[in-house]
Amino acid sequence: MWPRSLFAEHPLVRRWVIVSVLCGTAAAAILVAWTILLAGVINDGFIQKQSFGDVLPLLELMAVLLLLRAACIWLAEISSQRASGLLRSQIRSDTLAHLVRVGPAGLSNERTAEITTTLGQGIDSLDPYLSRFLPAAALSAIVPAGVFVTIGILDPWTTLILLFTGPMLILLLAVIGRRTRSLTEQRFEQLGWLSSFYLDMIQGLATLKAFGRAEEGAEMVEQVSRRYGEATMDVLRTAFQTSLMMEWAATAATALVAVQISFRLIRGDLSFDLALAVLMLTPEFFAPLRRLAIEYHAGQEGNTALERIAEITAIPTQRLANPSTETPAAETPATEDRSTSQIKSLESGAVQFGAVQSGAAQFGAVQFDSVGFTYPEANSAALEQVSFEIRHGETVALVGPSGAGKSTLAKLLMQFMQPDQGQICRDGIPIQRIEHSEWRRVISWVPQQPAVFAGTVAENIALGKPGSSLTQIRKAARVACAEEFIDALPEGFNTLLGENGLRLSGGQRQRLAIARAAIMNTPLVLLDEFTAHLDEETEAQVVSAMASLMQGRTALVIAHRAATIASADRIVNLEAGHVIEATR
Amino acid sequence: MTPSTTAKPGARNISRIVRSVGSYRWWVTATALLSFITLGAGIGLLAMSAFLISKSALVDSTITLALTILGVRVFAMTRAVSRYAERYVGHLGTFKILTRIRIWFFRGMEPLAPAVLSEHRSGDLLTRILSDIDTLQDLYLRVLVPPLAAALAVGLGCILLAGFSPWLGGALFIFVCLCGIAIPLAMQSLTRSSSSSLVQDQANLNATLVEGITGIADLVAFGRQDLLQGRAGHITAAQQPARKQLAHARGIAAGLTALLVGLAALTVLGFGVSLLSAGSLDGVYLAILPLVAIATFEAVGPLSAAYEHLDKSRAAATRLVDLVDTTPTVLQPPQPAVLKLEKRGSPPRDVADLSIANLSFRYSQHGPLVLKNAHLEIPAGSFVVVTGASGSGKSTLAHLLLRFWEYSQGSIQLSGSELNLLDLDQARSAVALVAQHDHLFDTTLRDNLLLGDSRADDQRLLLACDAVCLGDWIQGLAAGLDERAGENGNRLSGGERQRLMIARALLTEAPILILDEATEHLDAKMQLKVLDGVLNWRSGLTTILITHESPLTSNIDMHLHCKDGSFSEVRVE
Repeated sequence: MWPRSLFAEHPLVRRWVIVSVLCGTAAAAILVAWTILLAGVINDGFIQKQSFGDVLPLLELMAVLLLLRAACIWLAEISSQRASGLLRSQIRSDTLAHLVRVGPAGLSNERTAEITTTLGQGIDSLDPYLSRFLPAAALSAIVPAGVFVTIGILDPWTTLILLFTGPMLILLLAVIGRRTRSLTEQRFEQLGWLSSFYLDMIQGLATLKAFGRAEEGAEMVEQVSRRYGEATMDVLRTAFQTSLMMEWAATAATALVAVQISFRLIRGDLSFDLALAVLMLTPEFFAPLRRLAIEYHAGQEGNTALERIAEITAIPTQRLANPSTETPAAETPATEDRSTSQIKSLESGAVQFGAVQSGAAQFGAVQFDSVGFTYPEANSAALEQVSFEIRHGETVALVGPSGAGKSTLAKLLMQFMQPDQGQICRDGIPIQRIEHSEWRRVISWVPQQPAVFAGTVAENIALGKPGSSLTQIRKAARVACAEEFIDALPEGFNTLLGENGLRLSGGQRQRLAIARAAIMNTPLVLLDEFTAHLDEETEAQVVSAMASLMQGRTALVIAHRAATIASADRIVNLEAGHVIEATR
Repeated sequence: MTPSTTAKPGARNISRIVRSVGSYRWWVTATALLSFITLGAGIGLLAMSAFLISKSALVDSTITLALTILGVRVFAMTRAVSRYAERYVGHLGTFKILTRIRIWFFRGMEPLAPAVLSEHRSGDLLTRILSDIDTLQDLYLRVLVPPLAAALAVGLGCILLAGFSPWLGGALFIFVCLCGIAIPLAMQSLTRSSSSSLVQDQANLNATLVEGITGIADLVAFGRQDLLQGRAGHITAAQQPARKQLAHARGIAAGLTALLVGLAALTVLGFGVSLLSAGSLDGVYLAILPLVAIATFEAVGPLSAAYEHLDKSRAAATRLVDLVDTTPTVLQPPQPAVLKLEKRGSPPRDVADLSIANLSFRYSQHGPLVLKNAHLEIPAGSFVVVTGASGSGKSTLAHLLLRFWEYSQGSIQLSGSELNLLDLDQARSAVALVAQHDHLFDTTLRDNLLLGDSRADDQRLLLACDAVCLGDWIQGLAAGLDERAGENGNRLSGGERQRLMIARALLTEAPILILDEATEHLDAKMQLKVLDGVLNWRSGLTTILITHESPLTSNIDMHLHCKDGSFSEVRVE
């Protein structure tokens, strides 16, 4: 329960949690003293028949204690908040740093969604975990012990009842813990299932409508939602029953203490002030445990979040660093090294001075030579013995069903990761020997779902070439058939995009990505054609933007549209990681 | 969609949702009552116990105490049981409400698909909206119930004390109001600026993270990994002052609350002692006073959480209502005409002539004309092939026929009835469309096929599959028709997907079927086989094939070429 390793990594956080727990303990101790005093004042008024003036000093002392206690609570609260804020920002920056080292290769699409959830909601759920659950857990160990000892001093007999019910309560708490753990997991799963069902229905709305079945869709939503509500109620019922037991045990113990004390009071074994103090202290014995039961959920969520974060930081990093420092020199003959460096200087010359045409003229060809790749956790290879060539100036369409390995191939070509077998060569030179920054000047990429970053339109286009002039940016936008729509935006190229800015439509995003690639002016382009549903007008614009980007360049297109496939120079058909045929 | 929304419209949106979903008045009342019983039993238990102890100090026999002891036990049991009932009933209602909210939202979305939704679908906006619904499910349980229950319990506590002296009840009431209303409101107004900036920063941070991580490939591809960490670090640093201020405010609120509880108990006790000295209070009741005060405050605790949840619910409600209130592009005509179709063939099936005149269309107000004065006459039962470059307008025609977008210039008539005067469902059932981006549901193949004809038996489903050469494939599957299609059909290959969608459309027996580039994933031989199967199935009904390249079949009745938004007939040799 106590996250030792977490605190070992973040000692400052531990310090604040400890301060919070100490203040919480002090507040509880003051409350115990205050309660005993309260019983004393009641005794003075009831039994001793004292007047208001007689008890006033005691009341004043108690008010001072209350002030002290309020201060302790305030301190406990701000230190736990401090701990929470500190830990969250540290974990966030650590995880981010790791993710940047992992790069796109380790982050497949499903994973991305999961990781963003973990980094967003997951890290947010650490707040209740740290600021409420952890102090509650610590206090549930300290405070009942303190109250138990105090009651033991006041009236040893009552401790017998507590000795019996206390462990029973802790046992129940453990049972609740185990149950809620599996329950929250189950509930989470069901909720996830329900959400994806609902998303499926909404995405398929147009189809349902076309078949005139939208009303039945609504009925399905109702049915499934109701069924899952019932299933969830079944699991929740057991959770409630367990906490019913716990509630009952605590209340019954209080009642038992009350009755037992009253008998002994009648027999004269106990004085009234002691009896009342014990009665009022008994709920304080259970309070921290019940508080913990309430916060248990926060604890579970925090634990799950921590586990997920640990999973993320366990993703192995890719060799994204400069390969020239990493390539083992032993395997590489010295002569080849020299030829690589010659190529490098050629390339940089081409990019700096050449227009598209001259860059393309020096590009040559890319050969995939028996390329194989298997993802770390996968059973079968994503790509196996893939060999084909993209000749200079050619447009090659890569086709195949989803999961055939098209995007794996693209990732390898982008050098997001390295092939396990075989190699990708540029004019006979394996591309992993080419420095990353050099390779980026040769190839640019238009992804299927381009990312838009918070910033202006101009900044977004100049992503790969920060500091480009507006003339260059405009030129790139023109190539991408994007100039017109950008000029029509409220502030043209200075319009802010992203979460708080303007939301671009699918077709606009596509063209932005094409402009982003166009400004790089690379001889080779890799395009992952859109599959999103665009209206016909937009689709035509994106298609012509793609065509103008490919103009005069060597291009590999992951093609989804029949027209693109038809207009390609050559078609490479990929199925289950193998090249089936290369036609035309 | 702008994130800046003030509190007022947010509250209006909540009441708007409550009105559409139903107020669940009885259920809210029941939950609040059960919650009140729990709180009341807590007050009763402490008061009874205190009375028991006090009485014990005075009497010397337990018999006189029997009733009091029974009271202690009853309150103890009641408290535990009503807590259980409260949670059970509360959650039961929550699930009912969740269902209703989902249906309300689904119905609200329906008129927007696909014209308005196609914009939203591109982002993950939809996913965010789904989590807004999850936020709203707690609206009733965590926002509406606690204040009701608290009001009742506070009333009980105050009346109980007022029974001893009105001053006592009044004093408790003042303290409870300070704690339950004044402190939260004061804190909220004090920290409004910092908490709203914090919420905004947090949203920015999350957006930056999502944007950076989903776009990490873009960043790496363009060598800009530095962007992500830099921005996240910047936002986190900017949050610090507001975060500190908020922590202080929360600490002060918690401390003040504890202080007020204690002070309330002390005040009531002090009053009690003076009353006792004045002889207007029996001493045996003295212990009850501070304990009732403390127990009453138990009702006030959940209120601050309720305020917090109200803010969240407002934001969520605003986003949902914004989307649902978007005006759909196509509206049901106020007095829909009834489509009368002729039946022909054996077995007799509905057939329809299609005639289009002077039809012009643009997607946006200032966009270019996608259809320009288009004319078309397609008699019932024809097989028509439409070719043309992408963007020439051929798919737009399909969208207009399915009433996904509204047309305002020109006319489209089905057997003499103007399409946009017809009942929407009826108009849609006359036309079936298979397009590349159609959706397959994540359910069994059978369920996906039944969408075409809900009354079809397995035999008929398989017949339709046979027509598109899928019959053998389905028979060969381990689960047959029970095989799952996967998320949007991702367990099927491109070709299987397309043919399944064609089979689904065949089952509708719609008078007009449009295949929009629906056979392009198939090789030439298969394409012809599927087309033969389709035409065979639909002999006597109209089939329109929109394609990139004209197929090599001989039985084409009409070949149209679409260019710049108008259609011209190509002579079939």
